[in-house]
Amino acid sequence: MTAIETYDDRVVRLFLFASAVWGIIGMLVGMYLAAELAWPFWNLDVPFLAFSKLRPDHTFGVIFAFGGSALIGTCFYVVQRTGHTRLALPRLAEFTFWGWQLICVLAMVTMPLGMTQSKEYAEPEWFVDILIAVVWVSFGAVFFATLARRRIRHIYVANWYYSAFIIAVGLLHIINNIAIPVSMTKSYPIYSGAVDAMVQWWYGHNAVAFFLTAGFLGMMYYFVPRQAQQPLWSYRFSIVNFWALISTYMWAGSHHLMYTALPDWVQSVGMAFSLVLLMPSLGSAANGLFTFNGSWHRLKEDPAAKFMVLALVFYAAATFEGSLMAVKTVNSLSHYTDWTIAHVHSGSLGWVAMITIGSLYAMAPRALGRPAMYSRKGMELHFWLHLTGTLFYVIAMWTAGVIEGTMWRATNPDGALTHSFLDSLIAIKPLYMVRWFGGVLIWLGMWVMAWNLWYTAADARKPIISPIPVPIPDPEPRQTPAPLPVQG
Amino acid sequence: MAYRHFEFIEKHAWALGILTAIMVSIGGLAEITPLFIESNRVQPAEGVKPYAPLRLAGRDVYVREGCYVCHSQMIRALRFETERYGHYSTASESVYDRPFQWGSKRTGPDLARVGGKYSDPWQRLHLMDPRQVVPQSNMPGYPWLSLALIDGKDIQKRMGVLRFLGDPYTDADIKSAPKAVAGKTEMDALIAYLQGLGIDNEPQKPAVAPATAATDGGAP
Amino acid sequence: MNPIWGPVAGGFIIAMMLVFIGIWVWAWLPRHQRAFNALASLPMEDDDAAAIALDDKP
Repeated sequence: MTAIETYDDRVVRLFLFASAVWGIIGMLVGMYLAAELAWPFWNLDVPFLAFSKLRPDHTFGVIFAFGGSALIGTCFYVVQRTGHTRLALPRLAEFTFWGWQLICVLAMVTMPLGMTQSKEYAEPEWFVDILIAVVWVSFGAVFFATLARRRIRHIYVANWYYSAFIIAVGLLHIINNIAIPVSMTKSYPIYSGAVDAMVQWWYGHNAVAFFLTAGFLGMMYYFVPRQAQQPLWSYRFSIVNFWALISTYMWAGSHHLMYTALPDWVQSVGMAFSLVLLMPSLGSAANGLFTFNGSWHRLKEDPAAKFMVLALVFYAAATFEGSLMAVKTVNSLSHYTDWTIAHVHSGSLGWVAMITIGSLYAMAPRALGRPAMYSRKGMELHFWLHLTGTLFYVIAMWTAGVIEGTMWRATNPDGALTHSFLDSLIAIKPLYMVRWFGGVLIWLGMWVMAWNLWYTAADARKPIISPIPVPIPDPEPRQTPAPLPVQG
Repeated sequence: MAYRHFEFIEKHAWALGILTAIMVSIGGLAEITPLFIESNRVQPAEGVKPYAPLRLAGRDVYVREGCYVCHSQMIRALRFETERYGHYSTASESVYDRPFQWGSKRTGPDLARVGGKYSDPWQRLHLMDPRQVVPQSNMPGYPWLSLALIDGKDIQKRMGVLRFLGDPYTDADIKSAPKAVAGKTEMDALIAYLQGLGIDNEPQKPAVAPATAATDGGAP
Repeated sequence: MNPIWGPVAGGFIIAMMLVFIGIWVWAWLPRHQRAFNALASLPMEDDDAAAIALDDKP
């Protein structure tokens, strides 16, 4: 009556390690770029090392290579467990892994060589874009096929976020990258001027929304209750938040173009929806944090839980800050300055990286057939390195941003500008050095994690891990959640 | 009744997927479609013509080298901006910009109207080694640009694609392109591009226009 | 812009608000409570524990 299947964690393990490796590479590039800004000597007059050409490698490396690998890996892990089923289409899942790694390598080699569309976070040229679309569709196929064979009728909310992440990112990627190639290495977008700007920031903003928010919220909704050892605080609240979040985020993209040549009404719509967005964002953060309620003692014992709680705090803070910066008057000060950089990094280092690291620490032992991570002290050390590094980084950039913003707008009583542009650069140079130092701490933390994972994976390297068995419970009468009818 | 329908979404992956796609599309469509329609009506500003071959080559160098990472080309309609950089940028100035280069961060100053502010030799020196002319600058040098020649055939192909996308290049424009870039280096092209920024198309009446925008955040 | 867009936008906003309120009401219906509580504890399920529990069954 009962067949025992096993969860298929092979691809999950591959993504787990890819993520750790890309994290180190992506943050190494970031650290080097920070050094270039503080000490321009490091550009070394080498074309592919120039700050302007290397920067896309940092953004692509951490968002798509590190974050993307972690997202796809945890997605495959979560969908199996919340559906009580084995991964569908294992060959295609394997293809997704190698395809994604190929994309990351290709993009990170071609961009510094100058093959770039110059659209932020969508720099790779057309041939890489086509590859991304193909791999993305196969990722979606594996996910939805697995979802289709689930044995629990209700779709757990983490999977809602993962599916929104897959659908929206596919949509954004294709629409923003429509271009006519001139040669292998150059293409022109079909949009121009103001329309191109709107399409690009609709993409840029929603890449943040659906890649860096929805995807990682999916991760959060599975790993936070698990690590807190308590049920999700309010499941029904998560339903409301989901629909509110996905339907308001898309409207807010134009807040990246305040006071520019974009029509005024588009800017105002963007600002209004950015404020509405506060509600579902803070709602999701609250839902995660309240899940820990009554379980706070776990923070003392479990560094993974610490990463998660801090991640939620940073998420709440960064989204609050984001809505604030979308208010036109604030934006007039913050736009074009390092405040933007501070905001992005409090989101990416605080929220995205911390929830990822916490989830990886929660998932790795199980996917690798171990009772726990190899070293708890190592996790602890990583936590403190990451947290101090992030604080150094973010506070330095906040300060720099406010200094720039106020110096650029300062005028003498006669109406003339007080400072030259160069004055503002000289004023913030020491802060660029502090930022670099923060980056070094974070990067060292990533090495601690890689070391820890390496030893946790001892069994996986000897291939002796026993796959985790999945029971197929016989449907009981009036069972909740109701099972799907047995197929075939 | 309606409640059962929602439960249907929650229990069927395809329904959840389709509804998600619809919900996420609404916002984008509502903002981008009107711009698309309007963009057919936005006329190029006076003096804005498709880029001449040499400047087009220079613009593509600007894109390739990633200058947009640290330099914006979008002067906001704020008094302290127009005071520093000149008349605020308008949509009609960038109708031939593929891709747009408005930028999002100023590690260096805005370049929308940098044309003519510095001499050609200054630009060359500055691009070769910025700290030769601005000791505190943290901009990278781009000495390799002076070693690479522009390929006329390639520029013709690029102009062909741009014409296909709707930029009004004539046959004569494209035919004469190789002559216009013959013997020019990428450095020459980039300087030609920079020196034309904002001077051919600066909207007239700058004396009145900025004053209307001064109400927002102009005061320190 | 065309004056027709005002009422269209207004109607759209009202429709979206109704949908939003509808989702709240639906989510708080008492009859979902049991299913939602079970779902909320889904992540805490232990893979091995579930397998062992199953082995005990005849």
